[in-house]
Amino acid sequence: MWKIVIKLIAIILVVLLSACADPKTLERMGLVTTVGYDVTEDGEVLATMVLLHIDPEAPQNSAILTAKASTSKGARIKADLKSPKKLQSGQLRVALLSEEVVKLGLINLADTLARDPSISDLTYLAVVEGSANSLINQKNTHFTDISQLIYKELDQNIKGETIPSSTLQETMHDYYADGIDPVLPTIKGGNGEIKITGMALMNTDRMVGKINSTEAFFLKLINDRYEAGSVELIISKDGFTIVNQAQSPRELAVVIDTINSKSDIKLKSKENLEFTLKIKLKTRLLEINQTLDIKNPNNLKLLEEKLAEKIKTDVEALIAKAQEAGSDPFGFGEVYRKSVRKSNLTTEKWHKMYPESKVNVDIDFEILRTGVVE
Amino acid sequence: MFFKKKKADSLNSMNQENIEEREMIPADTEDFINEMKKRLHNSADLNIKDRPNGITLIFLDSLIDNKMLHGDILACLHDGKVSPDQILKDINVSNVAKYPFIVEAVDTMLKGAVLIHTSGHPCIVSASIGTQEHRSLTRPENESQVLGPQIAFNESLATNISLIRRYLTNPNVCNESFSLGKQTNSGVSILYMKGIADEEMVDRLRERIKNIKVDSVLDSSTLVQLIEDNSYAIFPQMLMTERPDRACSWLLNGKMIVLVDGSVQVIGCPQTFIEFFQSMEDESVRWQIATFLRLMRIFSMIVSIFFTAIYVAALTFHYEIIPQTLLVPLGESRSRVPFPPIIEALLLEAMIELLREAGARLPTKVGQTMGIVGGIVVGTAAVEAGFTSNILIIIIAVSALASFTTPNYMMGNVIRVLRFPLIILAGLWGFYGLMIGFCFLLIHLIRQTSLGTPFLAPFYPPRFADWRDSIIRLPIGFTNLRPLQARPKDRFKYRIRKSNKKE
Repeated sequence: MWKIVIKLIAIILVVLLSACADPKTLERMGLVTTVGYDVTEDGEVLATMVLLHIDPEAPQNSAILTAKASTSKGARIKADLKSPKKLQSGQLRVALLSEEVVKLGLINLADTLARDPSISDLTYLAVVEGSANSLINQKNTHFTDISQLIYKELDQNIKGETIPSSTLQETMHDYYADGIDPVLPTIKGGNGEIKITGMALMNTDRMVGKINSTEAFFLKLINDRYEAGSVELIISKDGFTIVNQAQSPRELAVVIDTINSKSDIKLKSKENLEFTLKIKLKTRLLEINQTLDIKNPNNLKLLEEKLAEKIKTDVEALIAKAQEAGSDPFGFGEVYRKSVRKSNLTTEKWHKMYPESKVNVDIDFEILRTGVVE
Repeated sequence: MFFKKKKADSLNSMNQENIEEREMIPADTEDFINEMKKRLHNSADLNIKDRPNGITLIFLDSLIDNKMLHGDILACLHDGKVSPDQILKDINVSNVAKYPFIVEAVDTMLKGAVLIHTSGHPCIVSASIGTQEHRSLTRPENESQVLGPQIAFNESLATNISLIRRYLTNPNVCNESFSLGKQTNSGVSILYMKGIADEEMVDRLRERIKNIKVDSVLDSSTLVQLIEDNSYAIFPQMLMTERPDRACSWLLNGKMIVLVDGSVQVIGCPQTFIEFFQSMEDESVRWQIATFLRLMRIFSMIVSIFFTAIYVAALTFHYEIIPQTLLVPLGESRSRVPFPPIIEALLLEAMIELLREAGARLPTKVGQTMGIVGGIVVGTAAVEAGFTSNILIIIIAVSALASFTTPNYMMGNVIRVLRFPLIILAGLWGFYGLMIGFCFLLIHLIRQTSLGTPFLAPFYPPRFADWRDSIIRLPIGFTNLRPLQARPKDRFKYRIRKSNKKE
């Protein structure tokens, strides 16, 4: 009996004396949903934070705070001085980095974000063309909450397979993995809207070049990690029998949607550093800008051939562009590393070897469906 | 040590009393009448009827059937000198006996017998002509269901046993009867199927019931607390039912049932935790539907226990896990509430409990008004006054609703109470606290036994064959094995191949 009483007292004491954990009650926290980093002329970090403003009477449900300090966390401490609620980054959805910041190297900032356990690994990273501060502060009439706009725009396009995903986790993985470089989407503000312009090519953590959104599609095609979406391709109309030949535009624009794509990179020869890239594409035709008789199998075959040729040249161009910039977002280095025994490949080594490598592209293109008009 | 000594003392004193009380019945009529009057303290309903030929009838007015007294006893007693043995032969009642001791005489009289004393003989003849006062059989109120038999046990032990005997026309149904309670002497019966039930387990139950030394057993719900493995535990370890079909299904699975005179509920043991979430209707409906219903009940139990606590933990400590679309509505309704989430949740939970308790104790007509006033008026006003957030109202209402889906009332009560410590833990330490609470509950459950068998079977220890009829129910052909829980002597209910021939 006494044993039970003593146990009970001990439990009660443990509960009462240990007190509660440090509470973070929802309505007393200033929830940062988007943060933008710029670099100032004197080398400091300018952090712009969008807070979720929870107040039923307030006209706008977001507020913007700006602070300058040597580190990103230092900027948050300074921003706290301006805020009625304690700033917390647990609800962070997007981190924007200005082009200048990324050109200097993003790993310090990304590492800080990844180190904070309350920040989700699925936070999106994006590069801003121009200043992140002015992008966040720009006047827009369509949306009350700019952070929601940026987040939903990125989320929609990534989930809709338009651009490669660039979450904090993926960026950190690509950074630390030897033989692959991260890519981040680039966005641009202006005229009250925010536009995804393409992707930023990186060399380890420094931005070295840009590709546009069509090239981003081919990047997704090569990177087996993603499913590619739909794309508009322009090919010459030589060889096709087209009705109303005279009035039609000079080139044939075709929109295809990939149903199924598979890419396979193999190291052909390790001495010459030669890769074969095999892409298998099963697509459906969405639109052609001219009246082409696709019921004719010859036409369809020609179309397939021409599109395959077009994709091949585009992919080759993209690879050449990336090689020139010194960035390997495709992961050729990873293939090299796993194919060559005792390669001891490091990121630096690979970046030296990479521009000399040769890639043979092989496209297996097929149009499965041409629509229900038939 | 302290307890043991006391027990031994009381046992001794009891034995001495028994020896003193075993007095013979006096041969002299006058002495016998006086003795009986003394024993019953001149009770007003003690009726003593002298017949001219030295026969005396003693009975309690309130217990016997007058019609039987006249037709079957008085009409059969002949005038002239008679002996007890002659009376024994003459009386037309089936339950007649001769007793030499006065204690036995008093006992039978209290159970509705008439005592017939013949002067000059140191013994009495007792004939049972007691009335069976009970209400007629009704529909089960607490375990009502759409399909299946619509009959419930009532307060009479004899009727209840007869109900079971009618379902199981089988000589193997064993009935052992005891009388319990120093003051009440209530009749208690153990029923089990010989050849299926494990003898060792029957012995264990028999020992437990025999060893009970209590003043009174008024209902099976008090008896069950005495014979359970762990009376301190919050979870009941033995199931009770008011449905004869359910009691029979237990018997057929090799379990034992305990019936108590004067109580509607019948105790079944050994039981598993999962059986508290099963209902007889699961057997009546198709297996897909039964599986769905069972999974839903388990889900609703989890919702009912943890939903409010998760709300409190998320709002107090873990704002990260709230989906972004929910942040604004949640934050807006919370921003007007003056209390921290834990106080808010406890207040509202207490309110719901008040409503439920008030509703349960009130007559049905008033109860409905209560529900409307409490649920709708107070609920809406509380939100409008900024007393609670409307999302919490939804959560509390859902978890209250979910706790009603548990088919067993006892388990429903446990779930209802368990919420409070978990809310407090969540309010103090967030999800860490919640996890501590959950682990504590799980360990507690794993440690429980029901009549010496593991309570969390068939999950711990894992008995995969019994999973077929646990939180899921496979088609009837697959459930041909009796659950191992009761250690049935005969594992097979039937052989699948033989019974699957459908022509």
